Parts: sequence; structure tokens; C-alpha cells
Amino acid sequence: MKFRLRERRKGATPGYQGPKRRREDREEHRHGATPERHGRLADYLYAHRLALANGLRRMRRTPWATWLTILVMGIALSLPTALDLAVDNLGRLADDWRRGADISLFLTPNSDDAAARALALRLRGDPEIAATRVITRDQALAELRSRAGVGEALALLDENPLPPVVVVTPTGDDPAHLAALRQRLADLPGVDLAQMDTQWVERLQALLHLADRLATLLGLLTVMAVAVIVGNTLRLVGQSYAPELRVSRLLGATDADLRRPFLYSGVLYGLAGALVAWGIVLLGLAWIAPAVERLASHYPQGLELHGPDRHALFLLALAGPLLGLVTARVVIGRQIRELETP
Amino acid sequence: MIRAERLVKRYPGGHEALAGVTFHVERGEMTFVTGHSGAGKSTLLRLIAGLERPTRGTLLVDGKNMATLPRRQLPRLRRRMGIVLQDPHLLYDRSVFDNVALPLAIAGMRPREIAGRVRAALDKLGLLDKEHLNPRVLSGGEQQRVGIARAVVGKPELILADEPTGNLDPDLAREIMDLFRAFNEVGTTVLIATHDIYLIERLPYRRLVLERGTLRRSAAA
Repeated sequence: MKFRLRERRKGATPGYQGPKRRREDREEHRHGATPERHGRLADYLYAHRLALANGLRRMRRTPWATWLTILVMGIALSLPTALDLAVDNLGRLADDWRRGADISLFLTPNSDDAAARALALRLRGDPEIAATRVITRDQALAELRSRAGVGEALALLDENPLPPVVVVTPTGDDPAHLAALRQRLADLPGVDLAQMDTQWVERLQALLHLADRLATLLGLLTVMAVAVIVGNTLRLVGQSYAPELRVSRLLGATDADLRRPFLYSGVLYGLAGALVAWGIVLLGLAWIAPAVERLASHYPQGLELHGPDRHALFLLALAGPLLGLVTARVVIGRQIRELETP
Repeated sequence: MIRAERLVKRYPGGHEALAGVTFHVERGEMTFVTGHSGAGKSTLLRLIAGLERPTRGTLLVDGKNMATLPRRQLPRLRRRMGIVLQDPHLLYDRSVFDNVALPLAIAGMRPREIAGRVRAALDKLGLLDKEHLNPRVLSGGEQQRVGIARAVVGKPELILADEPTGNLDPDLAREIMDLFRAFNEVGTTVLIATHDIYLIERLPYRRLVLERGTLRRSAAA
């Protein structure tokens, strides 16, 4: 508990000491170290201000160790942040793709193109449908033929087995709404099958759900690793302050007094670590942005890379200090309990 | 202030530093504990300071049972004590001034108030011109005096001193003794362990003489 005093420099000149002297004399025969009353809240706040200053001073005294700790925390915290961001972006992408989903209505096998055109025309009046398009039996056959391997097999057939298809573009993009629309269209007479072209998106989303879980798991593991690393660093810091802790205890410092500066150090490490993690993620994003743009040029719907939002920043700014605080509390608390007497 | 009844301290390994000591120190009394080295003087002071716990028997300090006093309550008691150990346990990462200021800072005193008190304590121990120095550059005797200044700066109710004059030349030793006497005169209870019989033989205070862990006699001066 190092204590520097502004008065010390001022008072170094042996000048006027009138009122202070007199108070000193008045107290000459009184015991105890706290004659001036400030109120409990003021004392409490003062103790915390002092602890914060002490925590900062200790960090400044060993800049190399401090920066290493902050860097380790930053790197470790950037991992779960980046994972979360990746999953978030892929999820957004899947949503975008689903939004552009059409519903393909396969008519019953013996329907002709005229029936399809008639249906398409009728559906265009539906408020939930933005546009319709007909794929005639010939077009369908041609498309199928163009796919490798299928063409030869189709040549064996004398007759086109494919039904015409009406491709419906819905107006809305709410998934539940779309599902209801698909069901309604499937129930229309003459429609054999109504298929949303989103099955692969659904699969992607299921996959993303899994990835989300994995990211959470990995995030938790990294956070645990951070706790261990920071804990070890703080343990070493605590050890280097063992003489001061022992003497302070001899002079009547409570465990809380001894702990407080370390808790502030922990919080500051966490805060600085969160900032570093933020910087790492932003740098990473800047680095992969050109690659994403290149990829986006191949997709008609486009791709947009979303940076971490305010929610993520808030979470990071909360998680870092909290992690530092809890770790410091556990490690230093233990160290103080085990402190031998001088 | 201090009441010991059949006080026993046995260290792991079987060494019995105190083998049933009974005595009583009144509030405001000044008492010496003497005896050869290894007689148990330091152990007795450490038990009273709460640095160690008694093995058996009773030890009451200001009415608190030191065998059962919860750890949490020890700091409060310590703040009312001034403890001088043989090794002054100074901190070498700060000035003499900051070393002496430490107990006041721990007690939550503000810098404004601390400065005056620290200088008063340093003045009493003849260290006022050393306040900016690092204690490392001081002699053994000077370091010892810094330790004493740190113990008395908070105006404790009880001063416990273990060989406080061990590193001091006779003149200085007498001055330090006078300082403790001055504290005693304004009501502070003082308990000093020393083997320096010549220093204290003419002083009008009670002596507890320890011999191999037992109290040989309690000599009134």
C-alpha cells in the first residue's frame, strides 16, 4: 500500500505550519489513528480511490509484465469474439438467401403447359405473390438434359416425363408466413408438389446452429484458459508484493484492504484486454474484407460483412473486466490467506 | 490490558517456547520482559501481537481471547497496537516517509493529516532529515528507528517492542527508552522485550524474567 503525498513536496520547505501544529498538539494525548471523521461512505470511497491508484501504480511499475498480460488477455478474448462474429455473419447470409427463396409448384404429371400458364396467371392476383414464372415441360427437359449424366438416360425415354412448373416469388419473407403460403399452394388442385428452394438453406442453418454451439464451447474453453493465464500472472505479481502484504497485515490491514488494489488491477487488465481483443477483431475484419468482396461478386444477392455490433462490444467490455476481477479475487484471496506472518 | 494464564506455546516438532506462563499487565503499565535469548521473549510478544496462536492456556489482550479471536477481527486490534520486531521489516521500494506513513494510510487517514503525524514521529526519532531517503541506505540502527517511528506514529494504546534497542549505541538506546517512557506517561501500555539488563536496571518498571519458557519471577522495581 504505497502512499505518496502531495503535501510532502509542498511541505519540504520548513515554512508555516501553524494550524497543523496546533491540531497536532491537541491530539498529542489521544490514541488511535483516525481522529478526523469523514463519514463511512467517504472513507469507503477514499479507500477505493486509493486502491485504484495503487493498482495502476503497480501495473506501471512492471510495464513489460503488464503489457504481456494485457496482450494475452486480448488475444484470448478475441477468439470467442471472432467465432461469434463468424457465426453471426453466416446466419445473416442464410437469412438473406432464404429471403430470396422462390416456391416451385410441380403440377400433376399429366398437366400441359397451358394449365401451368393459366395457374400462373391466376396466382399473379394473389396479394402474397409478387411474381410467377412458368417453366414449360420442354424447358424443364432441356434444363435436366444439360446436367451431366442425366442426358443419356433421358434419351432412352420416348416421352417427356416432366410436368410443367410454376415458379412463385412470394411478397413476404417471414419464414412462418412462407411456410403457410407453401402449404396453401400445395393444396391447390392440379399441384402435385410445392417445394421451397430453401432446403439447403435450412440445412445450412441447422449446421450453423451446431457451429454456434461449438463456438460457445470453444469460447468457454478460451475464457477458462484466459482465467488460468491471468490467474498465474496475478499470482506472480502477488508474490512480488508479499513483503508489503506481510507488513501491511502487521500494521492492521484487513484482507479486503490487501486485496483491493489487486482487484482493481484485475479489472484494468480485463478492460485493456477487451480493448485489445476489439482491435484484433477489427484488424482481422479489415484483412478478410477484400476476400469477402471477391466472393460477393459471384452472388447475385450480394454479401455484406457485418462487424461486431454494440451488443458484442458491450458483452466484451463486461466480460473482460469481470474475468479479471473474479480471477484476481480467487488467486489473490488465496495468496493472502496463505501469507505467513513476519 | 494483557492477561496470560498458564500460557503454552509449543511449535511443531515439540519445541516448547512457553511452558505455562501466568502474568498480568495493567492498562497504562510499562513492563520489561527479560531473559536469555531463546527464553521465549519473542514468542510471548508474537502471541500478544496475534502473529501466532497459543497452543494452550489463556491469553487476553484488551479482553480479546487471542486463541479464539476470529482472523477478521485481528486487524482492528492490530491498529491499536504498535509493534516493533527485531527485524524492522521495512519496505525498500519507498522512502522512509512512506514507510512510516503506512499504518496511517492503512487506517484510512488522508494525506493532509498523515504528513504532520509522520514528521512528528520522525522528529521524535531524529530522522526528520532522512524522510526522503530509501531505508536501504540507512544504517541498521537508523532502520530500527524507522521501524519504531512506524510503530508509534499511530499513537497506539499498546506498544510491543522486541529488542528495540538491539542495534543502537548506548546513548541512542537510552533516548529510545525515554521515548517509550514518554508514551507510557500519557497512558500507553508498553511491553518491551530486551536482554539489555544494564539499560533497564535503573528504570522503575516491573520486569518479567523468562527462563526456558517459564516465568522465573515477576520483579517489581
